Amino acid sequence: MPVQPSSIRIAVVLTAVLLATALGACAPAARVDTIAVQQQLTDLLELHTYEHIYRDVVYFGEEKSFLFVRTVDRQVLFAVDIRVRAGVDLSEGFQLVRDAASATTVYVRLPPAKVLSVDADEKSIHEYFIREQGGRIGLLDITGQLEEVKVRTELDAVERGILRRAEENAKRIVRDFLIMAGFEEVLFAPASEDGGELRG
Amino acid sequence: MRRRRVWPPLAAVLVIAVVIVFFTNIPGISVLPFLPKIRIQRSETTASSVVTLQSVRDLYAFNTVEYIHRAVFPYDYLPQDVSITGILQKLRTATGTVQETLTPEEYLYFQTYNLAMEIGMSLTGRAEFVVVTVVLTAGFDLREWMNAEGAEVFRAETVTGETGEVRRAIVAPPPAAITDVVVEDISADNYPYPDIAVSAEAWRRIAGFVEERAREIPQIPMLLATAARNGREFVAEVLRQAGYDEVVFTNGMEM
Repeated sequence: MPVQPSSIRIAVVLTAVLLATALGACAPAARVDTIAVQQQLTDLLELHTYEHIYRDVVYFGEEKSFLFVRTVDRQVLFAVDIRVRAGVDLSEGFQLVRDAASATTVYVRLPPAKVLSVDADEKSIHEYFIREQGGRIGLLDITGQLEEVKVRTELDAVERGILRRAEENAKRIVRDFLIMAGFEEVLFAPASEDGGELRG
Repeated sequence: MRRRRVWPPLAAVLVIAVVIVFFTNIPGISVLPFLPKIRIQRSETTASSVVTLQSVRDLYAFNTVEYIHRAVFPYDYLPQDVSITGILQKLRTATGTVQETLTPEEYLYFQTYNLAMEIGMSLTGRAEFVVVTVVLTAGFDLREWMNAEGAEVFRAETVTGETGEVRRAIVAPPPAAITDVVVEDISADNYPYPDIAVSAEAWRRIAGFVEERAREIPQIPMLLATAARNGREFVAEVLRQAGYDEVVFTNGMEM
């Protein structure tokens, strides 16, 4: 039976559509990136009073094979310090009121202690080994791991009481300063969630 | 006859295309995902990490300003009117050390060029770069100040002025200083530039290089002045709330 020209045309069109679908995914996509406008200089009133230093050992590995032949084998093992700093942000509701009855007594309310920064210290990186077969490891592959780790590290620091220690140290600094300023008794009111006013 | 010769290869191509699109993961998209896939290509990524607490310490930093410095490595450190050819020519006839022989700009270029080469960064052809953000924090390191004798850093006096008695606080704060220099961590969320192939060790060296130079940027004096001003304003406000009419800052500990 002779093949009809219309059958050939349909077959060609079908093949073209299928291959176009397959190759479409590989087509390069234009990438337009924007970066948020960021203030270069920012005023702060942060009292950093306690720090935990963690050591993170990071492994990243990637293997690819095609038709059961390994084409990519990339691995890196390195360690890095993660610093978690806590303290109080005095711009978030520091209050001070003198006692109406005693000139040497003062009431202070500090904002609640919080984690002020979690940062991987690049200077502390120690690379144990790196293997780059079939392609090099990208910076984002290396650092991408750290983002998730930083969240876990912050939680661990909070569980271990970093906020309590940070608050104690902040109180000590403020108390010492006010005693230098002539007060004999410095009383701390509990941190207020609603920013309620402190009365003497 | 000719049509019969065309049909078999065409059918074969069609079959292969159908298999590739519907039964493999080669296109990178999952067409009809419920169909079983032949794993012609396999990709496996493993990432793991273990975190351990190493140490804890007290801090006494009162940070009053932060400055974001963004640098493009290596290009911000390759002055335009300098070339590696010129540097090498100069060094061939030199008798002193490299630093003595080269101008500061040439030395910076030389150091940057060497670092880029050592870590395998291409400066020609497909030029590679990495944008590094450094956050400089300035304020006061209160450790020494906290341990000082009260009279060295704080004095109160009552003076009689035109409006009557005035309670005056005289404070000698510690000098404003750069309290922290931190290279911002890069992640896919906050780094909109092309990824760069560098090892962890190379990233340590780049970050260290940029951080070291960030400590010498011309904005440092302005940053310290702002830190000092912000700190004084806060302390003055606290002391006014504490009942002082006037607050004077001296240079006792530098103040």
